[in-house]
Amino acid sequence: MPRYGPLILHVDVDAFFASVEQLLIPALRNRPVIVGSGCIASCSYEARRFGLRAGMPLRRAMQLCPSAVMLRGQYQIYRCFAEHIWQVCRRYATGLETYLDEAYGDATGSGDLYSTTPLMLGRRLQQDVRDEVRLPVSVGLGANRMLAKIASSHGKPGGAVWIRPGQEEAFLDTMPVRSLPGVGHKTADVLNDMSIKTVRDLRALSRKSLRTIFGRRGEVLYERCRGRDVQATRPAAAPKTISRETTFRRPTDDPAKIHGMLHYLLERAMRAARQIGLLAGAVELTVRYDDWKQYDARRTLGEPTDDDGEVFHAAVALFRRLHHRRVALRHIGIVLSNFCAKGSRATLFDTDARARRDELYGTIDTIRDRWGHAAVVTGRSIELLGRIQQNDYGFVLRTPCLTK
Amino acid sequence: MKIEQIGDPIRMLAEFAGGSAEPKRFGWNGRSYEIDRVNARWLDRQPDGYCLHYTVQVGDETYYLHFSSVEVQWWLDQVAMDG
Repeated sequence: MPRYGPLILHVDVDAFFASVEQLLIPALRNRPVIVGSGCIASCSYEARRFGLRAGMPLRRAMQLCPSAVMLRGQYQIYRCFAEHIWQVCRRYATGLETYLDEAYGDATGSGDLYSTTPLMLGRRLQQDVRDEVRLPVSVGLGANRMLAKIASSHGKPGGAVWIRPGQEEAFLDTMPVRSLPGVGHKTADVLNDMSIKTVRDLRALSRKSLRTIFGRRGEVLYERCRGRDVQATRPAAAPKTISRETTFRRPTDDPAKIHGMLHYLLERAMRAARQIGLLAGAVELTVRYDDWKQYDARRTLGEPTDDDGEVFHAAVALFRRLHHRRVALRHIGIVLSNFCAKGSRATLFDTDARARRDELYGTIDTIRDRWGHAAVVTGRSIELLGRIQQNDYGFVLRTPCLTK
Repeated sequence: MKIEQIGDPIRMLAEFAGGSAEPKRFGWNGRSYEIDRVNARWLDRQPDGYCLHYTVQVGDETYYLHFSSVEVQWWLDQVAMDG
């Protein structure tokens, strides 16, 4: 039995994109730096002192901090740095579940392995990242995912925090209810109306009361305010959805450009699904107009498929339904869902045609794996040629982080 | 901050040792640039090889360089200048 019991690690890169930019260009160090296009994707701690936050429109950010240096972002570079950090983390935790700027892992027993306490383990990891990658990370350690995440948030920036077994409730006591995952604005408002402000206040409510107020979510809150979370890390779990979205550089009502972008986003999502052997069972489309009005619609496909053409056909039908105003479009996105594993469903008809199509997509994907997505441009994506700049990774979109 | 995209192949004097490379001096547009220091380095793994990327300091200017293992060629990607 490990000395410190189950131990989950959460690593969060502090002000990730801005920190990378400050590392790359020394002239940016100790200066307010904003990375983003349209709104802030990341900003340095120097910028945060002026009240800047992720998600804030750039115009507002420049009003608050006119001296800030604004950069569009180089997402391929950020991905390389993230991968280097996760490599370091894998020395200390197994089953790493990684996102763009944060990761969870199971560090149970690592303290015994390195003959140290979880807190020292976290500090050692931070030091390794600082020495090898030269970026600041916050580290949280606790008996479950929720505690690890809360601990790393508590330690930001640059801290390492371990919530010791048996100390969970004491640690959470004075925290506002909003700090618990799953408590958003609406839930917090309901609780605040009942004079419940801290996690300790929330703990005073019985399981039955919470269930009455919030339904099944109340049960989860009952556990979480006691520091209990049943969610384990999910290494390489099959995704429930695959999404690709982007904001146009300039709002557009050009049908060729819109259909081209729709096809491009869809073929990128479908390629990602094929890479992990999934067939899409449903497609959802979101459009946002220039006046920020947003509409979405979803369609279940006749049968799950990994054929770009079939899903594009469904997506165009959805688009015709949603695109009913004479206002330029600002943003477009697609979501694939209802996945099933390829080979799990037998096909009676057109087996030859399917085999030929599989071979075609297999070849296209192989070429793209070897030479980059831009090596082959198919279908309506051709409409984007000459309109949007390309690099090896494909068309250079305004929000490349969202196109993965 | 002004960032100028370049994308030119360059001649490089570099020290290769222990699986890594240390760029020292490069030639571009008929001029030689002595590297004061390496600011950052990162590895971009690709299906058929890898690229070693660097930002280096030459005076007040920051140069983005990379070495492509497939092309066995150094490239100057962009230059960042303050102001």
